[in-house]
Amino acid sequence: MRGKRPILLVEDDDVDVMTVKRALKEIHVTNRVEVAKNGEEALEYLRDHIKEEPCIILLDINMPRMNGIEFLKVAKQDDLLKMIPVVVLTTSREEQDKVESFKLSVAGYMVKPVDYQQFVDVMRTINIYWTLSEMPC
Amino acid sequence: MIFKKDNRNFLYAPITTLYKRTSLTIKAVALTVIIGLSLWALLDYAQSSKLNKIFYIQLFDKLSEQAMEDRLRLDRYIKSFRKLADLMTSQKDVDNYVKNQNWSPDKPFRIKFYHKPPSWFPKPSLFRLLANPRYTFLLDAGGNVREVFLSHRGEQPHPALLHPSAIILLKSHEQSYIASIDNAPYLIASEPFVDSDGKKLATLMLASPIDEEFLSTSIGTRTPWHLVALISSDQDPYILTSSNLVELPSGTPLSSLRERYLVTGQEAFDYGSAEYYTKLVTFMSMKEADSLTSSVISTGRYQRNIIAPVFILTFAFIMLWVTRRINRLNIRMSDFSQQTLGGQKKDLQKGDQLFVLENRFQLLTKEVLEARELLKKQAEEKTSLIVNNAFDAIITMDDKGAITTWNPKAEVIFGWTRDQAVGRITFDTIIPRHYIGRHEQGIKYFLSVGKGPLFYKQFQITARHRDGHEFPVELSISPARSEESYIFIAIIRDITERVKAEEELAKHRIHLRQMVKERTTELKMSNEQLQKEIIKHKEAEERKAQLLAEVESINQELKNFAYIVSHDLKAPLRAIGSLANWISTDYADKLDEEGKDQLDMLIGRVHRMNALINGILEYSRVGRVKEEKVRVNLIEIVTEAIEMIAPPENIEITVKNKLPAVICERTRILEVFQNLLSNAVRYIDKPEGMITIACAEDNGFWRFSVSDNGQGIDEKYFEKIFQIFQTLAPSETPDSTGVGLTLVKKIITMYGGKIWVESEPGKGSTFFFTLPKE
Repeated sequence: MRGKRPILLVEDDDVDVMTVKRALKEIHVTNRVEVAKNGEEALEYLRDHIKEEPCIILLDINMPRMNGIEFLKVAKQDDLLKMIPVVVLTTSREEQDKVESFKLSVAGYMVKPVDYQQFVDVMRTINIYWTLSEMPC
Repeated sequence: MIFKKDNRNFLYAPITTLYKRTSLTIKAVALTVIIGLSLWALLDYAQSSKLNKIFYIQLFDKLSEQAMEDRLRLDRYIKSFRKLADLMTSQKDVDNYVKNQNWSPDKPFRIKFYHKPPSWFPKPSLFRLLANPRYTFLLDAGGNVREVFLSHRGEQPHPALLHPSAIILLKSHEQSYIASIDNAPYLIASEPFVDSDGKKLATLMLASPIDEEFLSTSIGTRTPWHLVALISSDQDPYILTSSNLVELPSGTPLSSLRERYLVTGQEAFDYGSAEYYTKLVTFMSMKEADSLTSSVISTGRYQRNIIAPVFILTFAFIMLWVTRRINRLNIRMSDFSQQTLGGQKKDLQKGDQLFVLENRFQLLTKEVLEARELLKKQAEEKTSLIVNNAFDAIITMDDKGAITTWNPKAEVIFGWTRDQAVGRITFDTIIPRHYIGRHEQGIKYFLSVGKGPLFYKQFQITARHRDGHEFPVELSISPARSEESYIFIAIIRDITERVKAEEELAKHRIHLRQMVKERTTELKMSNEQLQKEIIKHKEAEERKAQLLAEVESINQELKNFAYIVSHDLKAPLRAIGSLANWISTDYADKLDEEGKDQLDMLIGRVHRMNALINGILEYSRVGRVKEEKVRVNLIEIVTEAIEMIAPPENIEITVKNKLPAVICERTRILEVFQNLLSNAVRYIDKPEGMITIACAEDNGFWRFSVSDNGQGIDEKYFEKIFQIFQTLAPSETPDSTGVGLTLVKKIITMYGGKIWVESEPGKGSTFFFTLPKE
């Protein structure tokens, strides 16, 4: 993906983390993957000035403590954080989740496929898109 | 007697008629004129004589005042005369002139007369202020007249003055002196000129005869009636001189003048050194006085002449107005008599307005009395009509208890005829013997106190018939005051029949009451039964509601459960899928064919599980997630569904007729067509696939059908295919989860429609479903 800035993956499921990391490796994305187990950890990471700012956030919706929607509500209030593109990566096909997410200006909404190969395709799509898309520095 | 009266009428008739017929206005005016004129004449006479008297007294007072004033003026003039002498001697010119004369007493001389003012004579202004002497003399020290100035040319002084005696000079010195020369009065004043040693050098003497001219100038008699005279103060006084010698010539005795003149101010006129007594008298001619009086009286008369007609006219107008009012009143009374009392129009006796009014009033009184009588008679007739035709017996009695009225109904009820009943004592006639005492007491009590318990109410008592039998009646008694005494009016109704009926009714009532009582007991029992049932029913209802609530909550829980479980199931499922995939790729070299097949089967089962879970999710979403209902054109929906399914080329989908627009959730109706069409496509086993969509109206519903020429369904599966997870395809077929038709059925049922299938195995199936038009 563009630049060397890390990818922030907000995901509580270990296998899903593995899946994302494996898929990224498979499509030769070398950016470091920072993992936060929930929305709170993600905010903690983003507000820590020592940590490098991610180039993209991959966000799960169903999480303990602070879920993805709650995280978005906080992050989009923050002038600095709302510049970072967020792609929702979830199992939920719920219309309500989609609507809520887009109301909070997410850059994309991907439903995690059960099939691994399809998952790889999803990640590939994300990578291509965010490689081509112009971004503010 | 009669003859005499006629005779008198015959004599006076024309005058009386004339008097009566003359209008009131004319009469009043005539009366006013007569009274006014006589009053006027009376007043005129009385007033004139009185006025005359007053006027003369006034005039006399005025004349007395005038006399006083005349006297004062004469006094003043005489003093001025004296003052003039003083002033002239102190004049330097005169003094010098006298000093320069050398009047030797021995030398003979002639008296020098001046007709024009000589050099020593003072300026005229002095005379004008003080007096104007007729003669001015200069005498030498010896008392001889040397020079004379005559103010009236040619008028020689009396010789006695040219040679004045020592007495004259002595008396006229220092004060004016009235001297009598030849019986004519003269006013004289003298003053000596003295040198510094006190030696007398000469003497100045002023003299004027007191004559007509003197009096008129000194007193100033300007009006013709004002006359002044100097009279002698003898016993029989006469006029010495006057201001008008024509009217009052000298020597006229005063007594002869009193007839023609008013005379006042007969005051003694004495000036210290007067030679004789005189009196100054003021006269006024009687003729003058009379003419003045008559002029005053005529002025008064003139005013009266104006006022009198004004009064008469005003009075005449007032009378005219009054008579008009009387006329109007007459007309109104006439109208009233004709219209209200219904009197005939009558010609009244001719006469003036008051006479007519009087007549009219008498007539009206008579008519009113007649009308009253008529009304009274009518009222009485009406009363008797009512009494005689009343349905009830009406009986009246006087305060002694005697019957006075007995109407026909009373005859029927009590058996007494009117003639028999009237005059009898009421209680002995109609009241049973044992009640009589109480009734009598009641009437007596009322007569003494003015109220009683029996009156003004209706009560039932027993009455007595002539034949002695007793029967129930309804009775009301009301007392009425008639002139001096009371009468009592009793209205009685025979209620024998009614009482009988009531007794009958009472019997029935008791019977009825008994019946009602019995029926009530029965009802009470059944009611209790019913109450118990109602309570039971209520309990059942409550239980039902409770159950419903429970079911509702269970249903809700189930929905949530389906959703949550599906989600939570999916995550590990995906993990299993991913892990199986990685194992088969990462450890491909370590796995034999059988192991690989098993892993592929595992992945296949994961996919199926995923599809099942999706199905459950999809199913639970229906009815849980609400979408806005909109008007949806089904042509668009079908087109979209076909595009989504992307059927293979060998299958042709046709829409048989025009599809309507329905109001529903877009996604749901799309799901319906999508599922039905994909099912049709999936189960087509022929090389040429034919799918037909049709629509028809069916009794307020749209009935849609989707037909295919696929493998068909055996009739025994017609129900089963709509149950969840029931699929006719082998479980290996990954797409067929057995959710689609269940979902379709749920949606259609939710919209109030129905779904069913008609099919023949091997030939094809047709799915029907209905949707309400509204």
